[in-house]
Amino acid sequence: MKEQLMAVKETFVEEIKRADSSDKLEEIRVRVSGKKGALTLLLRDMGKLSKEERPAVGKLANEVREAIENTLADQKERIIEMEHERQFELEAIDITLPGKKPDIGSHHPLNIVVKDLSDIFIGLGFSVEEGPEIEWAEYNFDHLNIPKDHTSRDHQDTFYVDDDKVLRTQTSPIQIRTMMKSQAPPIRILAPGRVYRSDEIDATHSPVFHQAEGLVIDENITMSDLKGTLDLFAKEMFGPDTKTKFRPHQFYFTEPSAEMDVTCFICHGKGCRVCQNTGWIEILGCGMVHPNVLEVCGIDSAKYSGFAFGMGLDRIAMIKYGISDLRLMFENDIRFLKQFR
Amino acid sequence: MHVSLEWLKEFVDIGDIDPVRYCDEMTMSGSKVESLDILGEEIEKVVVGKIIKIESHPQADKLVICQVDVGDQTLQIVTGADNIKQGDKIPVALPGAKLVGGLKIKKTKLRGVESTGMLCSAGELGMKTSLMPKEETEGIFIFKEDYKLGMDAKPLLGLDDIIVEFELTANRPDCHSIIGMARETSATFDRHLLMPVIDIDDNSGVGKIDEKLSVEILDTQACPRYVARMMNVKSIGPSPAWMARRLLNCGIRPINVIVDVTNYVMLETGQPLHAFDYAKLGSDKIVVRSALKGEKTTTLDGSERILDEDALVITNGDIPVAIAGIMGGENSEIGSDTETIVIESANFEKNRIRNTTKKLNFRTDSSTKFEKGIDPELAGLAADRAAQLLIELGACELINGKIDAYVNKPDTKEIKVESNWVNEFIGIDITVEEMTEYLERLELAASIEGGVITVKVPTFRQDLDIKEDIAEEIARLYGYNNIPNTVISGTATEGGRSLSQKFENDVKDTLVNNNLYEILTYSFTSRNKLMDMNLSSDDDLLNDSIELINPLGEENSLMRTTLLPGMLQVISHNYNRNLTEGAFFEFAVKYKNAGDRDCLPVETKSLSLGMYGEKDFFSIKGIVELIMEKARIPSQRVEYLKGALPTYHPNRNAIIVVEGQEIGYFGEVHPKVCKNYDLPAKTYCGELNFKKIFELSNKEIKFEELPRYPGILRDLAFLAEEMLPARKIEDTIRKNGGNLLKDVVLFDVYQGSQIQKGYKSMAYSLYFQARDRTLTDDEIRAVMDKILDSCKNELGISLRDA
Repeated sequence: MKEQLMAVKETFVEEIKRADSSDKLEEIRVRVSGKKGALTLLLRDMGKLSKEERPAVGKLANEVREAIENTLADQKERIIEMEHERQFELEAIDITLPGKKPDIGSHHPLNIVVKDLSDIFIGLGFSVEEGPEIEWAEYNFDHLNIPKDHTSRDHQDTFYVDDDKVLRTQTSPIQIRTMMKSQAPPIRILAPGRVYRSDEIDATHSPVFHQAEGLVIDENITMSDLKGTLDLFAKEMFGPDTKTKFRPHQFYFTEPSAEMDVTCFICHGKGCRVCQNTGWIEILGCGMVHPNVLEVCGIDSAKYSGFAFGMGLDRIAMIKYGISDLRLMFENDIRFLKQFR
Repeated sequence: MHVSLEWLKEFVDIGDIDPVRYCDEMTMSGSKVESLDILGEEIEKVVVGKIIKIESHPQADKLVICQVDVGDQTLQIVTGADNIKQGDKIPVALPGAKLVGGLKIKKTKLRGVESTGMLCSAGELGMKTSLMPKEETEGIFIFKEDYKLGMDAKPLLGLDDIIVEFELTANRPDCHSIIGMARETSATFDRHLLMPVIDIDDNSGVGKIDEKLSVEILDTQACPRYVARMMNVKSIGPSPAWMARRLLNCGIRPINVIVDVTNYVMLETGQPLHAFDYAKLGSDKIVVRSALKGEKTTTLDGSERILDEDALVITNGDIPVAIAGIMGGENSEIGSDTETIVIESANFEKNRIRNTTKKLNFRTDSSTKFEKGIDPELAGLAADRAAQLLIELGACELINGKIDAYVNKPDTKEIKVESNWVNEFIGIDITVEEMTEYLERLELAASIEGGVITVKVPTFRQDLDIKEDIAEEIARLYGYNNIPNTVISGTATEGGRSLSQKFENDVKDTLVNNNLYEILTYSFTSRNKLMDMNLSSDDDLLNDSIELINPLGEENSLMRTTLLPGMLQVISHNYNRNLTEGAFFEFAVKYKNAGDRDCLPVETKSLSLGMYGEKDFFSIKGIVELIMEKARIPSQRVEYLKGALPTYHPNRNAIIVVEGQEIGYFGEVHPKVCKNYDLPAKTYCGELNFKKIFELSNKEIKFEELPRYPGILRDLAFLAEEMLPARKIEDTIRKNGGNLLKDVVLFDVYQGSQIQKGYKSMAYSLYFQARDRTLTDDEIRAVMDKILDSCKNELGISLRDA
């Protein structure tokens, strides 16, 4: 009996180890441990053994059964793994084929610039304000300290709805409205928006365009604050190596006034066609808010001071992205728009 | 404005300053340089030569052989010019010379004859031929003056000059002259300013001006000052080369010595002058008055001008002899026979001049200067300067005396500034002495007392008014880029975007991520484009629109009352370029007449949608539903009602209604509109009132506990008449489903062979769930029965037979 058990163990363990599929394994299992299996039959015959023989044979029988069950279990796992690998081979694909990419649209490049700009100033504690595009002439000119006879008021330059209402020529009226509304500094606002000038449409001019103006009013605001804030803005907008340069200029609502240049963000100051080889690009106008403007808005110019700045957004977008023709911004050709995804 | 540095150097010594550095520092102190033109930069080795002999060329009829003495040698030069004669002094390009355009001169042979060098024309030397008389530009340039042979010809031709073009700001009329820019230069570089010495002895001439002329100003507001001098003419020839060169380099055409002197003094001082022929004046008085309506005069350029009361005229007491500040009249023009002249040096109010040039639609160098506003103090100085030059050049002899009608003297101004305040305001820390030093460089006399600077404002700086103006003068000479960059101190502010702005960005992002392109279109539209939307002529979109008084053409004459014309044009543009599909949106403002002249128009934030390509009505409806979802408005609260808007297909359009409010409309574009706008069939568009959507939106998210008990799904398929709206069925199901019914989804609409004609199969999936228990089949069955009964009784529909 002992020899038979050992023989069964040896034969079947070897067979099991050679099984290479679940089906084959199952077939072997049936042959060894099934109803009519070799081991099963042997174990049944154990009843014919004598009392003295049974313990020893029983012990061996258990060992054999265990060995066979373990081997079956192990081989089953091995086979599962092999089958997985076979499956993996079959399921191989050409991963270089194109994916099922969902289509997306894009934001308009002008609005991308507005958003970037707004984010920078929001980070400095500014809020974003809006105002009417059809404005009182008084808010667009008079309150901004612009002389009554200034050419910008001419019908050749500004669109009029009637004698006192114009299409705003700058977003500064929003600053006036903000100052008149709150009358209590501190004020930090950014006012982006659409503005209008009577200009024939061509590659660099449009009757409809976009500006963003900013205003800071508080006690003890200095011109060095103006420079520092705008220098910070330039570095965030155009890159940390950007330098700024301020040149004296003249605006009616600021005194002193300046224009600010930044290092050309195309050639980084080396000189190129875009910056006409100067290495600098003019970006904005700015200055300390004129006391007349503060007083008109009910703010005590003896106690408070402030600075204001304004920039043309279409131009910044065109330079930043290298857009050749302003008309493309309003034509909205898909081949143009999708470049801004 | 163009400034000749060669001329400028007469007033301030900048000889050692590199021109590029000059331009940079002038820009940084407030006079922006637009361009720098180094004249004659390319030209080398051109000298003065004299023609000793001219012979014909044996092999060429059109060529001549010249023997030219250039001081140290005589050169043989062949030329094709025919305007030269023996004894002429001309510019000679020596071998090795370089001319305009990189032309290099070498020893050569022309038709077999050696030619060593070249005789030059004005054009070959890069002179301003467009402003020179023909005799000087055709053929070889001939020197009028007797120059030494062999000397460098460049300075003699004005070709050693550098012309700087400045962009000047409106508040600095005093800079529009050589002296003005010399003053700025002297302040910027801290160099001494040398003003010309003008010394007229009004006893040294003949006669007395008071016996010959009187001046009366009728409108002293328009003409604050009128200065007149008179001179007897000795000879009217061309002005000397040095004066002609300076005029040319500043872009003015030399004419004759008298006209040239008036232009020269204008450029130099900034005060325009005018010279009349005294005899042609026809009287012994000058009366300055406003023109009469319809009054005519012919100006020097031969054009007849019709004036009105806005124009100012210089008259002889009767008729105009000049339009003040703009141009003289033909009737008093100086000619070769003029014996006596009157020099007018006057001041005119800038707005009168500007109004007149606008109306007459012509401008001159004079009027351009007057329009900016000129210091009346200049008038006296300029008249004397002109007289002095004319005497020095031997062109005229002085008639003693000067008439000066000076009625409106400008007030003297004093501005007091605390030096501490200047430092604080600008953000610097300099001494009061340094501040006054800057001011004095600009000729702003400043005295100090206890930290307070008192500035006496000179008449030529009418732009200085308040302490901030003085701070600017100090800051710009200190150097803006020397001011430190500081961070704003003081109270922190909240900043950020408003809820409505955040919501707008959210919706934009959602639309972009769902394959729509953001567009921006013009704010203008026209009656035609609105009518092309199939509107009737009394549609509110037309009647409520705002018209511009001065539009850029008819197509841009109205402010848009709807964003659709712009959207449809964009679709048309893309479709007509074979871009087969596209979806777009625009966030912008539309404008409506408020109906009250004392109010600004009503501006409403609007959102337009548009799409074409493989799309249908439900494609655009899907986007609308997405927007409603972003606004967290539950779909049950949104109703879609059929509208009657003429722009859309009558049976494929919808008005969106939320809580009884219309918030927008959309649909398939009407074929007529497709034709008018050149759109493909199956174009879809819509417009939503964004303001209303934001107001109706749910700003907060409230978390709801996850269900603890499983729900039950039941499907229903109804057989319904074709035209029964799906919404009605759904509403009935929901109404009867009660609280237990959590979701109703229409998953199939079928019309086909298995359904009778005129009917459709509507298959719904219903999901039931209770918060507190597992629902039983019995409970569900009861609800389902209620639903089916209601549908049968109210809508007349029953389950489809399997």
